[in-house]
Amino acid sequence: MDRVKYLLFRKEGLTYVALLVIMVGFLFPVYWMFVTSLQSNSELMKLPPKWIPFNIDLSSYVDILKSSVFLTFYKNTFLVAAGATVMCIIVSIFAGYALSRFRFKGSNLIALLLLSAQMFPTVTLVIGLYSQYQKMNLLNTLFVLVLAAASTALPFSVMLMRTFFNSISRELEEAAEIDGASRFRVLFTVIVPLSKPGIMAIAIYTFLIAWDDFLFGLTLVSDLDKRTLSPGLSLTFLGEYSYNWSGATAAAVTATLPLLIAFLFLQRYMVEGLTAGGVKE
Amino acid sequence: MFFRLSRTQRNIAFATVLLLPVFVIMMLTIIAPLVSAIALSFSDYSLMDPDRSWNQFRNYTELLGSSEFYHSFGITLTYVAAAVTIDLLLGLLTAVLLNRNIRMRSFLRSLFMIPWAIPTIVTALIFLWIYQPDYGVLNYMMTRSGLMSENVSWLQSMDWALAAITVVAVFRQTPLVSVMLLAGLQNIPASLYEAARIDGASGWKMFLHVTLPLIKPVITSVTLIMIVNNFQMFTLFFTLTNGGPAGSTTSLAILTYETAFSRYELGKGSAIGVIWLILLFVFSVLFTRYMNRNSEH
Repeated sequence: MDRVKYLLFRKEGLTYVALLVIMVGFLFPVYWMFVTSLQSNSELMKLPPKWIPFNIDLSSYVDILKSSVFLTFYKNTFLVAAGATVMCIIVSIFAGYALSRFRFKGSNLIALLLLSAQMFPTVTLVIGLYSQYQKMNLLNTLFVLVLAAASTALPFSVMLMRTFFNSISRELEEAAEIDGASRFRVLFTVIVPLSKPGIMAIAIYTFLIAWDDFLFGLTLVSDLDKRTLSPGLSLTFLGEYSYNWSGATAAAVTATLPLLIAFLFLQRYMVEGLTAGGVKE
Repeated sequence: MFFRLSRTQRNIAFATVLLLPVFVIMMLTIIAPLVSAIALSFSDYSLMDPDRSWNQFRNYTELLGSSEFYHSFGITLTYVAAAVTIDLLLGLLTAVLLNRNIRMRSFLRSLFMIPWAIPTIVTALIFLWIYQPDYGVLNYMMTRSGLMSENVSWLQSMDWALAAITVVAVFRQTPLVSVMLLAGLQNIPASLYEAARIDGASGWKMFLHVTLPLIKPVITSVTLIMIVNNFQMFTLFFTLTNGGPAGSTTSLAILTYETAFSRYELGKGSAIGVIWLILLFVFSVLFTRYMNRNSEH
């Protein structure tokens, strides 16, 4: 009996040790970003590195928040992410509802199109988009970035909403329709309020995708006042100024905070949505 | 007199209105650019010389006749194989550990998800600093612990650059893989484990004969998602090495981008994209077939 207890205890101990090692490995880089951003560059160029910073220097944050270029990147990214999220929510509710409730030839075509769209190499699409938008005079507008981010998030979002609507009973709509409500009113007053968790999931997903975009922002926009964060950070801190690690990490922390906060509060929806839409197809 | 539609006709009309926005967006951002990229791939079109006339497959013959394309394809395959394998193994291990009855389980689960909520560009930036040759913390730890005798320029080294990029990819991707696998693990009924335990199965045997077969569908779809995503990986390659040193990390995405937007040869860039598209299509058909056949047996 003692032997069994010993083995059990030891095995559990092994679980904790393994988890500790993995957690440290995956969280250290995040910790290191925070720590670096709180020190001055001259402090960073000294060895050994400070595992815990005592000489805290917030001047990099002050510089970032005073830099009008960085604030423009920030504002643009926010506008693109918010725009893409709104667009994706509306379009996914419509399309997901149609695919869930009606079956006809066209609906299969759309579903197939969505599924295969995820496979297409973005770099190839970017070349086509570039020459297309050049002709339409749409390069250097935030609108094309909104459109591009929304379309990246759409396939998954539509499929997620379809799965979600499939789980809502049709009887509710039939009852409302007998009462004489229009189709659109039924969708917005009966179905949408019931689908809040699904809508939350696609909202966070789209916002993350849009915030993370690099390639579209890099190629479709070249004006400084239309730049978004990812290409902006890469062009500011990864090129000639690459000695300013304090500034780079302070900018990185600032660029991450909105996502981290959203993630911590809305994680439940995101995990539920991801596992519902991504795994069960 | 009112124009009255039958119920089916009204259904079709309503569904059409609902599907119109997604159709228009997909047309504008996926189908139209794809068609125009395919069209461009048959011409010498460049930003300097907007000549769209047919060039007798010159882009394709040049690409398939030069070593550049095969070299990039090989690098992409190596990267995808390494990143996806480590993602899956590490993700599965973490998922199994986080599925055990441990203290602070939900707290640890959310903690482990944090790297996934960090933008890719920020991940690249953090690791550029960690890999920094003179003051980076990795070289400090390596030399201090005696694992290395001198500092290594990780991202400027022919031997290390691709591995260094793979580590960054694994850092950001494993949490997502882990969450998806964890969802699969949670769907396994506890009664199956009870039955196996009564039959005298050990922990390892239970994992091999109960856990793995039951989460195989999840593993399959996660694998496919990760392969497709990593095949496309651009941000990390572009920001960490931009294809260098000496082309040792020039993946297909970098080669396409370089050709189209640095050398301004949009036609040739499109041709790479089209070949890539065909390869990816063939692969996904084979993969789905293989997986379906395996699950039938």
